Amino acid sequence: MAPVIEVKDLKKSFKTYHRGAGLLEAFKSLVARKHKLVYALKGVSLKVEKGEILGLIGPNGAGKSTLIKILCGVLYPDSGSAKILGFNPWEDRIKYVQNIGVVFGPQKSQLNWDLPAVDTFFFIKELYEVPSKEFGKRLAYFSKLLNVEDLSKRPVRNLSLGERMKCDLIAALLHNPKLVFLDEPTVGVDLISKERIHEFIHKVNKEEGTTFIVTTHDMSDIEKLCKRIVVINKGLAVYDGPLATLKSKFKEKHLEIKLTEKGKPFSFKGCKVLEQKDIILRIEVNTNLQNIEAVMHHILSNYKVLDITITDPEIEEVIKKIYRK
Amino acid sequence: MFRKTLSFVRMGAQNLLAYKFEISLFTIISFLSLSIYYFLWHTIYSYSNTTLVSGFTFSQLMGYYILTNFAGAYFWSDMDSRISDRIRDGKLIVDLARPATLLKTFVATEIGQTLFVLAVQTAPIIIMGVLLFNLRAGSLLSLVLSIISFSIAILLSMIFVFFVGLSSFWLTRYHGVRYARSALTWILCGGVFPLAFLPQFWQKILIILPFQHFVYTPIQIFLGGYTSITALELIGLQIMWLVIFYGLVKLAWPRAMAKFSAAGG
Repeated sequence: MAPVIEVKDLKKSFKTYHRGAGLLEAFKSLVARKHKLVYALKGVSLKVEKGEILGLIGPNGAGKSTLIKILCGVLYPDSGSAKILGFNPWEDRIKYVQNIGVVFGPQKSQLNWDLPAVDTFFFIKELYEVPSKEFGKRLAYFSKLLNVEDLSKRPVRNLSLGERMKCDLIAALLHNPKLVFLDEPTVGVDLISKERIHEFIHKVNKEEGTTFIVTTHDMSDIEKLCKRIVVINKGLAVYDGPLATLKSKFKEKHLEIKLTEKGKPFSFKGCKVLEQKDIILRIEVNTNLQNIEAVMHHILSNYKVLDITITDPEIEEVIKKIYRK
Repeated sequence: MFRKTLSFVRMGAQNLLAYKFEISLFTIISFLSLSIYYFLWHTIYSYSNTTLVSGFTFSQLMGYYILTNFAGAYFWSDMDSRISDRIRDGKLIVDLARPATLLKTFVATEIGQTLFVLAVQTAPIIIMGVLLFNLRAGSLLSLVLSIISFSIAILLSMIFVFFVGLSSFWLTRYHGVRYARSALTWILCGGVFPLAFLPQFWQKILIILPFQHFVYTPIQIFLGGYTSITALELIGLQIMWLVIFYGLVKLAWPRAMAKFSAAGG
């Protein structure tokens, strides 16, 4: 089966105008404006199969949102090709978006601010020509899953951020899209609601085979939802693969040692001291340079040890390392 | 196809329903501005001791102003500002992610709002015109023709506003263009006084411009200011301008989209 998304070498640049601070500079810029091209995407290729939940991560300004917008067909790239669900998103925009669902984060809700969310739901029913029976069934099911049955009858402006997010999620899925883009779906959402949203996405993914593309800064989204992640940094896809591989790619192990009494300052080849305070010693071992056994031996023969724990670095640490590259 | 369009129309009307206070406020303001015209022209007519100004009796002229008030309901659109706002805060991508052209999205929503405004906000003023100033259609035929002409005028003026609004894809700040657009065209389309008041020279210039077809043409057809043949010719011109502006929008749209950079995250 053909992949749901196949994009090759997407590039996008923006023109930005530069000027110094102050009134004088403002006048100067009236006469001669200096502009600079900023490359948001420098050639991103991506392939996504049906039924995947793909996590798209990267630091601010890395190009995630630009990529999502191009994939949704709302932004023209400078160059590159794409075939998504058999369409070119930006050239066949209207036919293409009929088949996708989008949540563009909390600031760009598609709900009508002054009306209850149900009004937007019914609007979507008409716009996407969803049969009444199917619409009723889906709306009831989703509302129950996300626990918003009463909320959707209050004006959207009276809802909290998390409640709005949930209604937006429903709005994006009512027309049974084959592919759904979620741009930061859990910003400002409390832990319980977050869990509900995770469950919800899993359920829809499983029951309907919907493909999801999720961008996020929240690592719990990644760990709960995505088997595969793509890391975007400085306009390039710097990693594309399973989450587990990404973790194991980094050979560092963390050792946390509790001592019975304060010891001398720690120093050993291939090790980095993260913290040494009183009886606590935390070190990071680069297993390419040094094996754990030797480190343990060194510690046990030089310190009086109460307890040792060996852990993999947190996913956050791993991501930070990629970002810094 | 039609169902999609209708969904926008309905949303537009629902939007306005949320602002009941604003609607009643506008009705009051309409009454105020009409009474200013009333006193102004009352003074002019009595001071110059005449019953006719450029072929208008006093109560015909008041009827004219009441109809410009009706036309104002579709002419005073803030659709272009809404486009510009949504470009500035990046929310336009939400509209673009829907299966409809942006033209349809905005014009259909606007039509929904307008129909609602016409029904609720303008109706009391029309009734006042009928009762106080003997506001009547010139004949049954001119009533029928004016309904056709008004319908085209609504569509025409909205496509025009959309077209001008597209310039906000190129401009950082659109509001200047908006004021120019609404103030200037309101005079040129006969909103401030009947174009028959102008010297022949200006009338000849205005006839080749599209503006009078937004307001003046349908009002004059209603009041029976034209023979039916002239009225049909004018409706033909309205349709011509409709096609021209539609073509201009289609021409400008890909360029606007190429310029669009979806600001803000």
